[in-house]
Amino acid sequence: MLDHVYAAFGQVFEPYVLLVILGSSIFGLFVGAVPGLTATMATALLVPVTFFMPPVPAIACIVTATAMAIFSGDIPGCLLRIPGTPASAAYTDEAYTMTKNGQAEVALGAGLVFSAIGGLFGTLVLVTAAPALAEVALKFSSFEYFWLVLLGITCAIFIASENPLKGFVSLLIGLLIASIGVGNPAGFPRFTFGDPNLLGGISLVPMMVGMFAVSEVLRYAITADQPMLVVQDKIGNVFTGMWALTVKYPLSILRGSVLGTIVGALPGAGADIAAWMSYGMSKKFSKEPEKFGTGHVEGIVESGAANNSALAGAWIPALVFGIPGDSITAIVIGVLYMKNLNPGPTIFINNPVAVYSVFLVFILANLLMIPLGFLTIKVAKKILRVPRNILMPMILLFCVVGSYAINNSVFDVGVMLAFGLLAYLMEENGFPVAPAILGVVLGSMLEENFITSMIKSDGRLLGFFERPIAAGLGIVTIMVWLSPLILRIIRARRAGRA
Amino acid sequence: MKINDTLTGAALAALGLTILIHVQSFPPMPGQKVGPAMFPGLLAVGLLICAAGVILRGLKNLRAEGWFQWPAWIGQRRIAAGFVLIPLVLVVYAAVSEKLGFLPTAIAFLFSLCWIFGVRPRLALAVAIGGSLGIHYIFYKLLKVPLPWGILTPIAW
Repeated sequence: MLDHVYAAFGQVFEPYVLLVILGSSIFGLFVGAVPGLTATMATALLVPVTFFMPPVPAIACIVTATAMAIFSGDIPGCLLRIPGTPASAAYTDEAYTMTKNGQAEVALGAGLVFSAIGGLFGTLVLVTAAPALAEVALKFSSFEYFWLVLLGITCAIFIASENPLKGFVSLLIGLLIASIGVGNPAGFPRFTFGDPNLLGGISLVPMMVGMFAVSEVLRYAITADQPMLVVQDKIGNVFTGMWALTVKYPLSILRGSVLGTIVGALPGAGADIAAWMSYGMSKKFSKEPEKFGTGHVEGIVESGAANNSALAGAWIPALVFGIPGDSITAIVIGVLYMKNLNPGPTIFINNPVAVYSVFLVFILANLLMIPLGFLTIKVAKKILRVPRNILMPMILLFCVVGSYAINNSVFDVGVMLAFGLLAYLMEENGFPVAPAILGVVLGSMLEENFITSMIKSDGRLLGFFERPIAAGLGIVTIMVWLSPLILRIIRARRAGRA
Repeated sequence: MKINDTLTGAALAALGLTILIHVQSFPPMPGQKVGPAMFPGLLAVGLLICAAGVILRGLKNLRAEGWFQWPAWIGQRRIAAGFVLIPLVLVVYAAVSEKLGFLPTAIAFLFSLCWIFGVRPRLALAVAIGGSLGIHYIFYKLLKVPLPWGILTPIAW
């Protein structure tokens, strides 16, 4: 194992890779700090570029950019009351109130320092849990995988969507999209309408770029530019008082990091949900809950740690099972397949160096966040003044070329547009996009394991419950499905008694 | 644009039904009970069930929401134009970029979008030319993507 770690060091600390890390750090910090550009969008925009890189720098690029973007999303939230990414939305009001009280340094500093700590905590869990889980997962057969994927997408719907019914619709659409083309156990071309462009299925990159970048540009077009008013003129040293906060709120930091990692690891729920849950948890367990909302830093400490630890947590199921923990890792899984680093327990045996490189990059990115984040806060006002009416057309052109670059085909530009419009319409009407992405990424895996299991058990559904772990996973999945019904019955009984 | 769930649900039901009928034509796998039709077939059934739920929700809200809710920006001509222009430039790009070449198409693409978003024409033109050349450099020179030259083929660099 040690020589794999050495080899990973060698791969990561190469001038080219370090340059990529630095470049994507700056890119991520910028994207996060500009309202309307999200960390997921940063990933989608990077994919066409990573397409032309060797595996390690490609992954390093995405890991660093997303970690940076999730932190720097705090900056416009704090200074303008507009969260830079949805992951900062939970505590934007709190941070802005602090800025109005003249405490912008504390809010930004807490965002920065505890983001890094949360990120490192999540990485620690990833480093220890992922290989151990992979050991177990090596024994899994198609039955276990079938239930695991089903449990994953079930979690995504019940945790991540306000409206499970619409989440289900979104998921089914994603799964149906995944069944386009010849990529099924029978190798039969489905839903291709005789078009050779569809034989291989819909390309993941143009679809992701459409759903996460083009839809944001569409949304920008209809939100008239708000004047950017920065409240506080000068920002002092953001590190002042951070040690005192660490000593004062150790439990909050730990709780935020743990909750963030768990929420991140659950499929479908990512950094934004981790931040919301963590902020609520912080208020509930605080000794001074009445101070929340009046410019109190405690919630920022906890949820700031949570959203960054969620990023690393999401990689656990992504690497071990190929089941994405959030939208970002959904894209990452696509990249891993393109780089022939097929995720799954065998990645730890076949490509240990690549896995250790991912771990190393996570650590490096979270450490690098402190100095680079400090500099970003210094130039924050300049970034916030970047004219978005120039930026958005450039991003759109970048999307076009990026989508085109994967297959050198304008067909993919059409795919990008179609999915951009679809994602826009879905969100406008309350259909969450994340389950659809999950469906697209997991569709072929779900079908393959389902069909294989059906053949193995000769069509008997009971065969799905005959192995102990499969039975356990199956029962949990079915219980989650039935939970709304059971809850309703319990509530009705209680109401009847009262 | 908000569409009442009744309509969305009906569309989903139609989609589910079409898929369910279409997959019946898929050939079975020789010697197996399962085939390529099974998985999409199950998904289509799921879609039909969900569609029924969505329709019920829609009917409940129909009186309050109406069939369609046009967004507020539809009356503001410039914003509406910007929203429509985005898919339009993408379609135009897909249609003409191979013949016209990347650079001329991209310049027109960027200029029209910047202009509709309220950038002064002269600055918009500078951004369009500079941006197109920049993106061309990144993808054509650094990443070796064969972006088409089109009418500029004689002076390709």
